Amino acid sequence: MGTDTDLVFKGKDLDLIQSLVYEPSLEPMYCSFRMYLHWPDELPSGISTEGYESLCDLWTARACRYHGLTLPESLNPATFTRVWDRAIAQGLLWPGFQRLELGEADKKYFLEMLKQENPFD
Amino acid sequence: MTVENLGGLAVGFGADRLAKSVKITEALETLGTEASAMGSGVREKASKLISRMADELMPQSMGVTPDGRLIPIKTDAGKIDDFAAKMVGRSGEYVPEHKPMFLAPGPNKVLSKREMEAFGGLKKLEAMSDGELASIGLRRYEMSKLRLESDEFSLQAKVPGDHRAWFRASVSKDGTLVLTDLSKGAMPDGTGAYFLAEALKAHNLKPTGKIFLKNIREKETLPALAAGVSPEHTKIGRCVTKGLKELGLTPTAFKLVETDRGIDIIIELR
Repeated sequence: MGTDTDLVFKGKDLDLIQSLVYEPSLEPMYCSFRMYLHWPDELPSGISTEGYESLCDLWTARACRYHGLTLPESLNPATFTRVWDRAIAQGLLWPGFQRLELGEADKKYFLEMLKQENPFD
Repeated sequence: MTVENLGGLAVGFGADRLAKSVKITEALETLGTEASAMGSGVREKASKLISRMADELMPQSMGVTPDGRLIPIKTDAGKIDDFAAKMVGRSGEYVPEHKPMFLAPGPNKVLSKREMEAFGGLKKLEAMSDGELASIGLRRYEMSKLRLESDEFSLQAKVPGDHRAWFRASVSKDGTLVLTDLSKGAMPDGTGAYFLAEALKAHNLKPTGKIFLKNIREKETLPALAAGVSPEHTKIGRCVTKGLKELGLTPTAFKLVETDRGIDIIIELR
C-alpha cells in the first residue's frame, strides 16, 4: 500500500469500492461520453464526485490497455493508466479488475458502439 | 414544533441542537449536512422535515441542496417541498410524457421532423390509426417508463428491460447541473435527447444558468472541437440542445474547458 496521496480511493469511497461483488453474468454498458465499457457491479451507489471521476479514469485505462480503445490524439492514455497502476498498487478488490479480456459478444458490442453514427441521440 | 423521529435515526442529526433553540439556520444546516450522509430514505424524510421547518420558521423561503446546505430560494408560493425534492432527486418509477414518435422499417431510428414532413407532417401521422400507419410502413414508438434512482451525489434514470440505457447527473455545490453520462441503450436513434429531457423532468431538474458536460473524450467530438467546429454543432452539443429545447430552455453560449482528461462543455442557458 502506498502513501495517502497515492491512494485512488479513500474513506467512504474506499469502503464502497471494497464492498462491491463481482457478478460474472452481467452485461456491459457503453459510455458515449468517454468510449468505454463498464459493468453495473463496478459502480457503488453513494460514491462521491471525486470517486466517480476516479472510476471513469479506471474504465478509460482498462479500455485503452486491455480492450483496444484508441483515445483521441489530444489525450494521453498514461493519464488514465497511471491511475490504474495506482489502484493496483493500492490493492483494491474492484470487480473491474476481473474484466481485462472481453468475451466475443462484449467485443462485438464494443465495436458496434464505437462505430455508431451518433452515440448520443 | 417537535423534533420528528427520522426512522429511529434522529440522534446525531443535529436534532439536539434544535431542541436547545440554537440559531435556526445553523441548526437546520447541521441537520441537512448530517442527513446528506445518510441513506436515501432517511435523506428524503430529513429533507421534507427541514423544508417544513424552514417553511414554518423562516421569514424567507429556504431550500436544501444535495450536500446539505440550506440556501435561500425565490418562490412564488413558498413551494419549498417542491424545491427540496428537485434538489435531492427522486426514486421510483416515472412515466415519460407522451411524445408522438414513429419508427420506419429498417434501422432502429425514429423519424426526424423533416422525415415526418415527407409523410404529411406530425399532425397527420398523429391522427392516423395503427393500421393506417402500418399501411405506409410506420409504427408508433413510445418511450418506456423510467426507473429513477438517487444517492448523495448523483441522480440517475434507467429503463427497465434495457440495462444499457442510462442517465446520470449531479448537482455541483453552486447549483450547476453536471451531466456525467447519457446512453440511450437499445432505444432507437433519435431518442437520446428525449431521454435526457425526460430524465431531467423526472427528477424535477430544470437547469437554470448553465449545464456542465463533464470529461468528454468521444472520438469525434474532440477532433471536431480542435478543428474549430463550434460545440453546438458537434453531435453531443446538438443532442443536449435538442433535449434542453424539449424543456423550453435555449442555450445562449457554449464554453469549453480543456483538461488532461478531455473537455468540459459548459452550456449557458436562457
